[in-house]
Amino acid sequence: MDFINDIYSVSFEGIIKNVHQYRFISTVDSNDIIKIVSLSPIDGMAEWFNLGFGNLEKNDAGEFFVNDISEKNNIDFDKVLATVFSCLMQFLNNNPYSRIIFFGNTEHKHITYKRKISANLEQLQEFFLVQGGYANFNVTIIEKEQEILKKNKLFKRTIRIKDTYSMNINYIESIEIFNIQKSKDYHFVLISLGDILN
Amino acid sequence: MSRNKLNNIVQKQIAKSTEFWAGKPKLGIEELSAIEIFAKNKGKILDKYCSLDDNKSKLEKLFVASLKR
Repeated sequence: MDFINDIYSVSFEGIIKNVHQYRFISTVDSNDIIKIVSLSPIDGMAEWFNLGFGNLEKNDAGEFFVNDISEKNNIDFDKVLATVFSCLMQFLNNNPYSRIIFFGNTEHKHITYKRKISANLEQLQEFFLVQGGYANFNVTIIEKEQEILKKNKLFKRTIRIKDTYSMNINYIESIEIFNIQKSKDYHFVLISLGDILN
Repeated sequence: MSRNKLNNIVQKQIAKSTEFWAGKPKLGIEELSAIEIFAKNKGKILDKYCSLDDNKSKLEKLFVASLKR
């Protein structure tokens, strides 16, 4: 990953009600997709933040929402992921003791993110302490029809997503240094600066 | 990697981005509110878990223990 030359330009939109908000535009062949990265503090855990990431879209009523199950993309996933990590760099540079936790909300995306982290782990570890964690939780799985845009053609498919409103963590089992061999079993990923502070 | 190196990379990223975003409008209230709602909903997973003091300290301990391994 090239964190300077091969990322999209990020706009820090500010901190609104303690939520750090970043925006960038994924652009391929004049097709612009607005991407949002949000970092919200976990109640009562001063240094812990939850990572949110999705497309800024409008619903049928014309209202904005962040769609984190959207499959509308420009097939530029590596550049998008590098840009998300560049947002985390900016955030951690200002908040060096913070930890960022990420739960994928669809099976497909969660697996994809972990694969991409695994593929780029060595480079990511130059900057971050990357960890994986196990949790015991209950969650309702919802099946949802989804439209995917591939090569300018719309396809429909059914995806399984976690109903995050219903998700209940019973306990966090363990946290460890991200291990590629075990990564498929991680329920969440944790990013911090780790050794950089030494 | 040193703190300075990270800071240097971040400053380069910001300089490049500032040039790109110059003159482009910032997000409006509607967009920012939508992001805030999204972020708060995403955070609920852990907010609920960490509403118990015992769980907060367990999570912190697990993190600290993971660094020592």
